[in-house]
Amino acid sequence: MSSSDVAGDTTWHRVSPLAILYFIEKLFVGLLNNIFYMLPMFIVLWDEIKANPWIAAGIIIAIITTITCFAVWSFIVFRYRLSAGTVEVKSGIFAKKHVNLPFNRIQNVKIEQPFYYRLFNYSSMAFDSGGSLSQEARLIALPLAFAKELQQEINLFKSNNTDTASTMVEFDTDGQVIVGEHSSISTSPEIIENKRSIGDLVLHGITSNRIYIILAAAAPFVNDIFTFFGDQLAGFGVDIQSHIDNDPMWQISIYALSLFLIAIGLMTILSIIGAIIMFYGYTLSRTEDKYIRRSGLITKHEVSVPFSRIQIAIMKQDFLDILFGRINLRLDQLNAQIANANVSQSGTNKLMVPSVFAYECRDIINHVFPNHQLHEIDFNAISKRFIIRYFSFIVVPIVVVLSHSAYYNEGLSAWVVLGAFTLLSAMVYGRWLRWGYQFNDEYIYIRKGLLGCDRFCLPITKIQRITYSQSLFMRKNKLVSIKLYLASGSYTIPMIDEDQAQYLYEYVLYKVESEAKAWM
Amino acid sequence: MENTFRNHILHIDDAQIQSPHMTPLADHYAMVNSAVSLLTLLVIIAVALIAIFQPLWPLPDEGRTNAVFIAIAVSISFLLLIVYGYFAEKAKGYCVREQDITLFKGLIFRKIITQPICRIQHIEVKSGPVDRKVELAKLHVYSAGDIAQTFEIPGLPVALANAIRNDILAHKDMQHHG
Repeated sequence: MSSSDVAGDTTWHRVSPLAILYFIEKLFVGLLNNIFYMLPMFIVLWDEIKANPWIAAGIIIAIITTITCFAVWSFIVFRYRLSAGTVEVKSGIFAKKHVNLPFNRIQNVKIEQPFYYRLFNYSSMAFDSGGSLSQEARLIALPLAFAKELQQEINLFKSNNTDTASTMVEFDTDGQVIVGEHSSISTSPEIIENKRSIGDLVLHGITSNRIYIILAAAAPFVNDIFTFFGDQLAGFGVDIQSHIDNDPMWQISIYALSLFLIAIGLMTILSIIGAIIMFYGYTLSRTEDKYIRRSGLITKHEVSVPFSRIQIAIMKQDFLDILFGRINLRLDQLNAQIANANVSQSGTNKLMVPSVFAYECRDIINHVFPNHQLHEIDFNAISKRFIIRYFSFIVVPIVVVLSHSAYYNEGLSAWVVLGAFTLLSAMVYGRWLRWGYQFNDEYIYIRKGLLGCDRFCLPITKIQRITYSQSLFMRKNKLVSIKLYLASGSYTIPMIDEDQAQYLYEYVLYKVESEAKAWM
Repeated sequence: MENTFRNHILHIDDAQIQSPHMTPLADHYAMVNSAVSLLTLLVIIAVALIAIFQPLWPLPDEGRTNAVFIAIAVSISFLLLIVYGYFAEKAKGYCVREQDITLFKGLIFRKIITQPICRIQHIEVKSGPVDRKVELAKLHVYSAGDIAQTFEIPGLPVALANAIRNDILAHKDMQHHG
């Protein structure tokens, strides 16, 4: 059987019976994953099992037989077809599944060889279509030579049919054969776009909490650390319990305050160290068609992101960033594919430029999204009814509960209730103040936040799907929420004027559908 | 420049309408769906009653009364959910146009979800055992990105679901764009 034979034909093929092994493995793994939930049952029944080992053995044999039967059955219903540039797979016993995947939609072809295939020189192929996990098509138990031939054919087909060049640098890990299209302009010279000094990184450490990096590394030793410090304190003759019991209230408050400040200081220092570990020697270089980020103190990370893959630019500012006038720029690419490829690499789908100035931000985004106006655009406010909605659904219930307990308990004074009410109302108002949206014929801009401020810029042609939603109240007040789905995630514009929303909805669809530009 | 751009509604008699127009799902879909939920609920109630009143390990009287009350409360809330579900499914609808496919749903929150065909990664026609008995199918449409949010039109007659699938596959943007 050669792939050129099957490329044009329309009959459904069955795979080698070796596929049964694959189904057995899959069912068995599925069973093992669920065994956690069955543990209580085993514990309860343990004595019974010990008393009647033959019944237990019988049950196990029954389970194994059932698995085998299902595996054989799955094999029998599994069919595939390769015709006119499409892979089609039919599978499923109870719920029939028919996957239809045109070659030019395939982002990745992985050839895998589990040990039980290696013996017979067979392999299974996974086709990744760049979307969710469940939409992956899989051909199992194919002779290795055939799989390789098919892989080449798909690549050939793709290179003949697509003109967008891109690389898959960030995906090839764990030795699997991963094939992407090869960049035709990869030879263009690299220009260094941006560098981050230690000073920038210290600032970044202060403004954004990177402590979790340290914590993650320290997690296995947490117990030891606590015991260590506990022993040290005891060694100095500090007995915390006796102080709490004996000292006056103001003294304890001062202890608590100084402890709190020390903790903040320590956290800031750790956060700075975290930022330096992650971003040491940060350079962002640019070739004609992609950005390359290199950074890292201990392990050097290199992430390269073709411009065409970038779905959205996000300028993130926390409260402190606004104070220092810095911006964390993020350029996000595909969401799900990374999750597919490798969990441990989940950081690589976001190209982050820490603590840059606004003009640098503007220039970096400009290479990806030419003529964007994210830095100077005037945002439209969303409806004031946003305030009413969150006031009545969040502030009012909380305040009612608080006042109720303040009225019946003496512990809670009216001032606390008033304070909470003011704070919550101010938060709702502040949030409304930050929400903003704007669009022109190429880009949609969104702004949100409370103390901080995040600004988003997304090209309309990259939109995957759009949702137009209205509650009963919103319909009465002629308001609409719009949700935009990109390959990198979804973004909402809440409660805007119905006419505007209708126009935006229709314009987005017209733009996406009439131009049908590649989104990656 | 795109003077040839057209987006007429397909699979409906009046092919001149331009903005998406809801076509309801198959008539018996909501009923079948609720019937299945109701049946499941009845089975669970039966199992619960057997567990409560079985003579092998009798519950103390107080425990039994409480268990009965809990079972009643839970059943009533699920029954309300099923009634709500019936009307929610009844309110669903779809629209297939030349360039996109739209799902209408929601009782309180009315949602119109539109998926341009040029952004579809792939499609599946699914039908479970019950669906097959009543000759219905679900059309799953996948685009890139969000794992949690897939786009699914339930309660389509099998022939129609397949027809829509074939139309989408035949669309020029499904053939040429990556």
